[in-house]
Amino acid sequence: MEDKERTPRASMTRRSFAKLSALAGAAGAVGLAAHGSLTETDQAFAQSGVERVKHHTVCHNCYNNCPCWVYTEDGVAVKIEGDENGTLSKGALCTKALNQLHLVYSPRHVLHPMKRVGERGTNEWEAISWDEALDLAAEQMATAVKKYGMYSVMVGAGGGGTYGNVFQRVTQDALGAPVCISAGGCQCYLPADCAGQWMRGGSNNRHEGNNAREMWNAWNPTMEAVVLWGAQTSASGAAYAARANADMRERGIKTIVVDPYFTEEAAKADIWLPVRPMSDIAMLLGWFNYIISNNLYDEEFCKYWTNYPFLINPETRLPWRAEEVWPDYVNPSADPNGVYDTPAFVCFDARTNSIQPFPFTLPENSPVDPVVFTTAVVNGVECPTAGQIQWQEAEPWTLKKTAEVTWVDADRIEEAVKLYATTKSGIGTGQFADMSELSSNFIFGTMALDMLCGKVDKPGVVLTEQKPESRWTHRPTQFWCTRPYQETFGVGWTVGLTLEENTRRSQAAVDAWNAKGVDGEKKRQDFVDYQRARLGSDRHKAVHQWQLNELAPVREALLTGEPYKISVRWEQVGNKYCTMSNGEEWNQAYATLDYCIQQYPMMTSTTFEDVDLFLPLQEWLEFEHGSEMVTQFNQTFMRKQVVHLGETADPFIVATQLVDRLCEKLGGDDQILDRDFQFNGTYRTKEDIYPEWAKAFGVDDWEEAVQHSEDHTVTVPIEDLYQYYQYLDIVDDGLPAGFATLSRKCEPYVTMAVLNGRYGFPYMFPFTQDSPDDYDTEYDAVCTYKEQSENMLDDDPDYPFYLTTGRVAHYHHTTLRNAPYSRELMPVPDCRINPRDAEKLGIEHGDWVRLWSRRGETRGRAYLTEGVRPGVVMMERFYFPESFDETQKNPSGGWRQCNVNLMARDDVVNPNFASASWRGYRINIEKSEKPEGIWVEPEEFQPFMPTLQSEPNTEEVFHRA
Amino acid sequence: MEEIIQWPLVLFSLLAGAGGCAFAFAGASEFVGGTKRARFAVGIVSLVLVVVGGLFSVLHLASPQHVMAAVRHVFSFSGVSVELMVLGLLVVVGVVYLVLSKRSGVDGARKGFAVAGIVLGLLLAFVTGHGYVISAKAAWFTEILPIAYLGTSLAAGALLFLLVSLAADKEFSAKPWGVPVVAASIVGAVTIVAYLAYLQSAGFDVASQALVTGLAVACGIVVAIGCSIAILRCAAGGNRQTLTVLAAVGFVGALAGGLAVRMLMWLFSEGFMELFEAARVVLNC
Amino acid sequence: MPKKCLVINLDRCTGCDSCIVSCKFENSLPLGVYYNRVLAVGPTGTYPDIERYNLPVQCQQCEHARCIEVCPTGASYRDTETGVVLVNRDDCIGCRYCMYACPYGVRSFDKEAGVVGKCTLCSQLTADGYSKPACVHNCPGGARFYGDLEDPESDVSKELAKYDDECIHQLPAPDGEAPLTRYILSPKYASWKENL
Repeated sequence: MEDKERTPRASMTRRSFAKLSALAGAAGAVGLAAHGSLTETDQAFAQSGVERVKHHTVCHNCYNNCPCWVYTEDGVAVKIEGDENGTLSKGALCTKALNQLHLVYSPRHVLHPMKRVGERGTNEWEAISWDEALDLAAEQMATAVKKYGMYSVMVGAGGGGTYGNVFQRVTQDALGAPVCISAGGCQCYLPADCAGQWMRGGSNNRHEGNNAREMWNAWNPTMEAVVLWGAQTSASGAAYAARANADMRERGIKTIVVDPYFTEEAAKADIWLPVRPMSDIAMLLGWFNYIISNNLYDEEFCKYWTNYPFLINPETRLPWRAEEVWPDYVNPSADPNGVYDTPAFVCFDARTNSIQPFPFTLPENSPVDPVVFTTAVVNGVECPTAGQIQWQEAEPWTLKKTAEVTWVDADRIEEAVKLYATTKSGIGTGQFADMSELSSNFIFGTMALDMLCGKVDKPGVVLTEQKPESRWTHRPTQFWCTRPYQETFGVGWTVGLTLEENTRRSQAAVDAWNAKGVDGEKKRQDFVDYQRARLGSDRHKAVHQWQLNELAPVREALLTGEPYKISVRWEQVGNKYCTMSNGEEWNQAYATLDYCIQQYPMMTSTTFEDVDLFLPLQEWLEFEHGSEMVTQFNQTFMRKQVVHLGETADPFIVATQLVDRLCEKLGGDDQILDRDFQFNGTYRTKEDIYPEWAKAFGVDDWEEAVQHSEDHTVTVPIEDLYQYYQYLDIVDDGLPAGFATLSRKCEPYVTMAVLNGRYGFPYMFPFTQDSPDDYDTEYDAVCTYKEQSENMLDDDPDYPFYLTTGRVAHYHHTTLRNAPYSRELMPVPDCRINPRDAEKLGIEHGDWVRLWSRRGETRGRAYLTEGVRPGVVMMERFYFPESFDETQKNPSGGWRQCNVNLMARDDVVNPNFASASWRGYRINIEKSEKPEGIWVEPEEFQPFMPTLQSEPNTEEVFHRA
Repeated sequence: MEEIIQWPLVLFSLLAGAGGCAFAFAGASEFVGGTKRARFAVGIVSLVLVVVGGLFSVLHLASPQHVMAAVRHVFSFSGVSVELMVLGLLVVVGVVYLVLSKRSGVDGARKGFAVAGIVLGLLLAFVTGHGYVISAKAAWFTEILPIAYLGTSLAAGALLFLLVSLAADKEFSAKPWGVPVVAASIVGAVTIVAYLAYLQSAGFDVASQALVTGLAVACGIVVAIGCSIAILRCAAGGNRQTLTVLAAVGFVGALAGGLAVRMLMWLFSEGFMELFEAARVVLNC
Repeated sequence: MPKKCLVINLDRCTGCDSCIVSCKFENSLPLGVYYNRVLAVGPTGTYPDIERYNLPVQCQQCEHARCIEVCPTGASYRDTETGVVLVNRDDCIGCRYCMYACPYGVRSFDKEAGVVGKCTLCSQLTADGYSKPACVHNCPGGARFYGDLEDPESDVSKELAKYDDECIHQLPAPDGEAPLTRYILSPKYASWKENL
C-alpha cells in the first residue's frame, strides 16, 4: 500500500491560508474589489510559513492502537490526523486520540517528580530530581519490607489500554509482593481470558483487542450474522468499529444485539433483544434450550471436537478417564515419550449401546459414535455426559419462560436464536458481565453456545485464531498467558503436557536455581506462598490468572492489618476512586498506609487523597515503544516519540528502575523474589531495549529507523491473518492438532473451572491451594442460571430503580476528563432515565438528581430518553479534575460528585473470578442540586487549555545508562 | 438563551425610524403649515435621533474596525446596506435642507430637499425593518414587519414633530396637525394590530409575552391614539401647555409601542432550525 | 460552478463527535464555539419500539445562501472557483445578521475575535486537490464524504449512487434555500424526521 505523500508545492498550512486572506483583503481595501476566491501564490510564499514535519505513530488512549500522523512545527505538535493506511481504521481517529494535543501540553501534565509538602489532601507539592525521587521511594519501600516483609508492598494496576495494564505484574513477580488490585482485571476481561484459554486453548469471544475479526473480513466474506451481546463496539473500538460494522452491514451481515440499552449497535440491529438488565444468563439458557430441543446444534462437531459426550463422574465433577473404568486400557493416542498429554475418556457409544473408551482421533477414525446428551452407568454410578449437564440446566428454559424472565418477547427471542443457529455466525461479547457476579456463567455460556453449534475455527464464525503462528506442529500446549513461571519458578501447569513432563519441568526450574547457588526448592516454595498470599484467592482461585486479589479483603487488610500488614502502595495508574466501588471505605483504608507512590502523566483524585510521591509519566506523543500496544489488526507499528517534555518518563523504565533501587536499599538482588524476572520487555533504559525492538521490526538500528517509523510497519498479509481449521492439521504424532486444552478438544464443560476450584489448578502445580471452610469452591462448569444478588425481579420498594452502565467513545476509564474539547461536549456523566419515570419524579431533562444505593450516593444530570427501559437508570463513571484546580475555593478530590461507583459493590463477587459488581444493582433517585466544585459550561474549562507548547523538547531522563 | 433582545438594534430602528418620520413631518410642514423655526428645530432633533440611532447600531457590531468593508460592499443591496444608504442619504439631505433653511432665495431647492427628506425619512423607517424580512425566522418573514416599523415610527415621528414644534416656537400652530397626527397614530395602531395578528396566525402565542404585548397595546394604541384625539380636539386654539403635554405623552406612548413591537420581534425570533442550540441542550449521546 | 458539499451517511454515524473535535482542532476554535455539532434525533417511540439516528450538522452550503444575501460587508461570500460559501474574518463586522438569516443556526459567533465563523469545508486543506476536510478524514464511521455533486466520480456522488432516492434527504428549507448537504438514512434503520 502506498503512502499518500503530499508534495510540498501543494501543502498549505493554516497560517499561510490566513495570510492569503489578509493579503486579498488588503488588496481589496481600496476600491470595491471582489475577493471571491482562494488566491494562488507562488511556492516560495506558501513555504515561507513554518515548516511542518510529519511523524507516524500510534495512539495509546485505549487498547485499540490506531495509527496516526502527527504534525510538528518547530518541534511543537500542532495537528493529529488518522493514518489512511490503517487496514481497519482507514484514517479515522476518535476524539480521544485527537485530544492528545491538549493533553501533552496540558497545564495538568506533570513534568517533574513531585514530593508532597504538607498533609495529604492539601495538594501542595515540590519538584525534586529523579534521583531523589527513586531514592525516596525505594527507601520507603525498603523500610516497609524490613519491618513487615515483602507482602507489605501493594501495587495498583489499571485497565486495558492504560500504562498500568501490564508491567505492574512484573513488579509484583520481581518483588514477590502479592497484593495487586485493579478496577478491571477480575471484573474486566480476566474472565474472558480464562475462558478462552480453558475452553479452547486460545482466544475468547470478546469484541475487543484482536478477537472476533471474522465479521470484519471484507476480503473473503463468509459470515452471515453476528451476535453483539452486550457490546458497544462503536464506543469501545471507536476509531474503526463504527466503519467496520457499517461495512459489514453493507456486506449483508445481519446483527443481533442483546442489550438493555438502545445503543448505536441496537439502533442499527436487525434484531434487538432489549433484555432486562443482567438477565443474560436466562437468555443464554433459553438459547441453549431452543438449539438443543430443535436439533440446531452441530452434532458432528459436538461429538468429536467437544467434551460434551464425556461421561462425568458426579463425585469428582470431572470426566471419567478410560483407565478409571478399564485399568488395562491402552490409550492409542498417548505419547510414547510421555511428554504430551492426550487423554482418553469415556462415552456412551451409539454403535454398541454401551459405555466405551473414547480416545482422541480424527472423527472418521473414531472407534465410537458418542452420544452427546445422555446418562449412563459408569463404575456403578449413574453419570450424565457433560452435554447432559448443560441440557439439565437449560431444560426448564422454554421460550415462554425465557421471555417471562428476560422481559423480551418470545417471538423476538425465537427470531434471534434461529437466525444465529441457522447461519454462519458467532457470538461476540462485551465486558458488561465481567463486572458482575455473573461473569463466569456468562462467558462460559456464550463460548459454549458457539462450540455447541460448531462455530469454531472456520470461516464465518467469531471463535477463530489468527496468523500462521496459530498453527501447530505438535499437540497444542498452553501455559496461562504464556507467562514464564514454570521455567523460572517451577510453578504452574502447562496444559497439554503430561504429569510427568510438568513435574520434570518444575524440577528443572528448581535445578536451575540450585545451579546458580540459590535454594531452588525454597524459591519454588516462596513463589507458591506468594501466590497463595493473594487475598481472597483461596476462595476465587482464578485471580491468579492475572496475579490479582479480591478487592474487599485488601481493604480489610489495610484497615485491620490482617492477615498481614500492608504499608506501602505503588499505584501504577490513574484513579481508583473513579473506577471502584466503596470509595469512602478505600479512602479510609488508604489513609492507613505509611507511604504511597504514584506514577502517571497527571494528578488525579488518587494523588490528591493518598499520594506522597508522584512520578511523571509520558503522554503517548512522548512515548516510544516497540512491543506492547502497537498492533491493530494485521499491522504492527513503531511507536515514535514525537515530542518530549521536561522529565517525563517511560512507565516501564520507572518500574524497573525503582525495583533496582529497592534491591540496592535491601542490600542485594537476592533480597527480592527475582530481580531479573521480566516478560513483556521491561527495561532499565531505552538503550537496553532498542536491540529487541529493532529485531522485532527487522531493522538494524531502532533509533535510526524510528525516525521514519512509517516505513517500518510490519503487516501480516490478509491471507496469512485469517486462518482456519487449525485443529485439523495433522501434527507430529499423526493425530489432528486439536486444541490446547486438557482434553485436546473444545471444553464447553469447563473442566479447568472444576480443577481450579478444587486445587487452584493450573496455577499452583505441583502444589495446591486449599479452600476455606466457609466458602464453596465447587465452581460451575457449565452455564448455570444466576441472577445478580440485587436484580429487577426482586420486590425492593426502597430501591425501585436498577442501575446499569455503559461506555461512551469520548472517555476511556478515567482519562480525558481534563481534555477541554471533550469536556465541553460531555461535561458530566449523563444519568439516563426513561421520560415516564422522570415525569413521575418531577424530573426534567437536564435537572440534577441524587442517586443512592445500599452502599452510597452520588449525583447525576438527568438525560431523558426512551432508550432505557422504565425502571432502569444508566450512568457512566466520572471524576472531576477541576475539583482540585488552584482556582477552587474548597478543593476536593473530585471523586464524590458524580461517581456512580459509590453505589456499586464488591461484597458479593463471582466465585471463580472474584468479579465485583460495577453495574447491576438497585438504586433510588430523586431531584437534587448541582454539586459543588465541578465545571459544566464550555468557557469554564479554559484552565485545561494547553499551556506547555513553549516547553522545549528534552531528552528523556533514562534514555541511556 | 442569552441576550435574546438585541437592544442596540432595537434602539437603532426605533430612534432612526422616529427621527426619520419626524423629519418627514418637518418636510411636509413646508406644504401643510408650520414655521421655519419649528421646522429647523425638528430637523436638528430628528437628525440627532437618526445619527444617535445609527451609532447605536454600531454598538451592535463586534468588530466595528472592519466597517469600511460595509462601505465597500454597499451596492450589494443587502438589508443593512440599504439601511446604510438611506440613512446616509437622509443625513446628507437633512443637513443640506437645514443649511438651505438658513438661507434665503432658495425656496425651490429647499422644498425639493424637503420632499426628498419626506421620502427618505419614511423610507428609513421602513428599511430599518425590511432588513429583517428573512425566511429563517417565521416571526420576521412578512412585509407586515417593516410596515409595523414604519407605522410605529410614523406615529412616534408625528407626535415628536408636534412636541418639538410646540416647544421650539410659540408661533407654531397645531391646528393643521390634528388630523395628520391622529391619522399617523391610527396607522401606527393598525400596524401594531396587524403584526400581532400575524404573529398569532404564524403559531406564536402573543399572550405568552403578556407584558410586552400589553405595552404595545396600551401605549402604542391606546395612549397614542388617545393623546392624538385629544390633540385634535384642542388643536384649534387650545391651551399650549396642554397640547405640549399631550404631544409628549403621546410621543412616549407611541415610542413605547414601537419599542414593544421591536421587542416582540426579538422575543419570538426562534429560527427555522436552531441546530447548534438544540445540540447544546439535547446533548449528544 | 462546482457544488462542493458534504454527504453524511447516517446509517454509519454513531455519534462519536470525532467530527466536532477534528474541526475544533483544525480551526483552533475557542471553547464554546463550534463549526459543527451532532444532534441525537430520538429515540422516538416507546421502549422498546423505538428508533433513533444521529444528525451531524454544519453549514449546509445552500445554493441560495441567505447569509450571503444579508451580509453588509461581503464577508460572507461564495468562492467563485470552488463555489464554497465562506466567511472572510477580516471583513466581518460582527453584526451577526448572517446568523439570523441562516435557517439552520449553524454559524458561530467568536466573542473573543468579534467575528462570525462557520464550516469552511476545510478549504485550506482541500485546496491541494486531494486532501479531505478534517472531519471527513477522521470520521470513525466512514460516514462523511466531501466532493462536488456535479462530478459523478466524486466521493459524494459515488456514495449517493449506492442508495435509492428514499434514503437520501436534505434538511427542509423555509424558502427555497436549497441546502447542498445530503444525508443518507435508510428507512430500515429509522425514518427521517423533517421536524426536529
